[in-house]
Amino acid sequence: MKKFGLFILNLLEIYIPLSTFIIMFLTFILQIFYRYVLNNPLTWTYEVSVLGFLWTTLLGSCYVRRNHSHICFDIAYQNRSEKGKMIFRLMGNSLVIIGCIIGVFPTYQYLLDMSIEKTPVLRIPFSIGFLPVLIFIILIADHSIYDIVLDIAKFKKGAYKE
Amino acid sequence: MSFAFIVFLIIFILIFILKIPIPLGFFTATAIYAYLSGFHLSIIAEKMVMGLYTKYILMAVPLFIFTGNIMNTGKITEKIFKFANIIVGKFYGGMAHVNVVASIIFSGMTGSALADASGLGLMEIEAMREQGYADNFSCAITAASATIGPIFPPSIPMVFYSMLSGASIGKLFLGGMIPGLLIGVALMIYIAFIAKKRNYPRGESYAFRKAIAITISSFPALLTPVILLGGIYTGVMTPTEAAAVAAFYSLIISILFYRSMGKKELIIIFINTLKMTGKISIIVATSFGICFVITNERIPNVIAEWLINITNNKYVFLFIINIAFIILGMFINVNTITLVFIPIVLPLIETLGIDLVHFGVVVDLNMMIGLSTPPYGGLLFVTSGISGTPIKSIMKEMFPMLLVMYTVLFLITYIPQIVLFIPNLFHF
Repeated sequence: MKKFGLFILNLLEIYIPLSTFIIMFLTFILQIFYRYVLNNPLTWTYEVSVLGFLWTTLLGSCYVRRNHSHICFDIAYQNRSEKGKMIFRLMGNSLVIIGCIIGVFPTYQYLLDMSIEKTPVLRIPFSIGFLPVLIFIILIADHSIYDIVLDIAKFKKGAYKE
Repeated sequence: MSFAFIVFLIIFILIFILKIPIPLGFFTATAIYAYLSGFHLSIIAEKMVMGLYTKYILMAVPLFIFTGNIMNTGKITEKIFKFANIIVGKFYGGMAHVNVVASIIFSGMTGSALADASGLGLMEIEAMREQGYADNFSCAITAASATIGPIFPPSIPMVFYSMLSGASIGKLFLGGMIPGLLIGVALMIYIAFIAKKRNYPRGESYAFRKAIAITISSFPALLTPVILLGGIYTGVMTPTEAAAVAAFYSLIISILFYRSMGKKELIIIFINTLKMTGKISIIVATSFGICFVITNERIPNVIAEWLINITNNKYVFLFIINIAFIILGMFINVNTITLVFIPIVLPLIETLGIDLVHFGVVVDLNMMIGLSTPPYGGLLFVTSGISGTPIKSIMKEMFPMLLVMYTVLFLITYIPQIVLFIPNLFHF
């Protein structure tokens, strides 16, 4: 079960955004080749590359969150004791979870509303094109909850005693 | 000031106290603001996705990151370094000069200071260490020269500024050329002075044949900025397309010409690009929410009225802005400053008759210097990390270099022609 969960996480946070980045890059090259070499511009490449960029950004940032590599400001945090740091993390993660909870259902509703609108050339429903924003909110909440659970477990084991 | 905005400000401050990842903090602050203000909460998702979907220029960012990663993993960086060595290595303090020249060349290929410091920087610091330079001086000059990266075109912060202000990205890139070179020249003058004072060694002097052989071998690498900038300024390609072509070209020469890249390296490059894109572009996506709050609360107008009451002299205004951004740059990430604080002051720029391109380059240079400014300049951490030198000792060497760079900042702030001379020669 744990292995399957990790596979799904890797699929969403690594394999899919890596693929969308490669697709975005290759589409660009194709677009330039057709426009400047064959003098026959392609109309669909804009949609593919821009959606590739969107998927790469939103899903890739979940992977960054998993590795705790997002850009942070840590002057106040670094000067705290281990217990103080844990309290800061609990507060920070809780705030992010509140944001995600507030945002998740309206985002789902937004995607449902967008399902009737389609991209002009490829006719891809925007509910699919913009789906990563919902996945982003869910995965960020998931990582934040996981970190809280880990911190509490460590606290119970006495890892943060002064 | 509404209750929702007060809560927003409290969360905004908490982002910096609690070490909440900046984009996630932006997202949370916007969501709670929208909830308390009675907006339909789908507005957060809408701002994020529509921002990414409609701002075509933003796609240049992962492509510049990709190019930088290819160069650092393939042998391109090494070739640039060797080429710089045959040009300026023979002077006193030669390796420090090489450091600056290599950064100038590298800056023409990728728009990131951190890519310069982390890739080229390691090679530069090691070479300087071998020749007996003090580690703290090597780190300081590496950090200072890396600031040229996003000033000389192309530049990731300028892409963001162009998106926010509507200024021509082509003109912004051109506007960064002279200031980027000025920083390089100013640092080299400082190196010449220090090299004499500390008796730093001359580098290797190459025989003509060897110099030609190195130049020929470096030539494909040196063509990258020509393709990138040539593509943009001949009007053949958009900056985003040029970024893709530059990435493709560096990939091809790394695989076929230098034979320095296999499947393993390619996977590392893609993973690193994914991480950097996920790190930087998500700040852009979530900052669209912050911009929505700022606009909804009419913050730019409030700040504009307040600043106009202090002064309506554009030179005094530029002075105030420079001081404010220097202080912000010491603590806050460059992209965060660009995406949050630039929209606040933009209305005033036009009111005071300041050229958007001039202002963009001034602010860009200012923030880049911030990257090297203690106590929290990102470049200091990178050079300290790759060399194992304590930050405190790098700071000591950094201060005179900062003075040199602030002098250039002062010059370009008050002599706009330094920035605008080249852009005015072109018509976009």
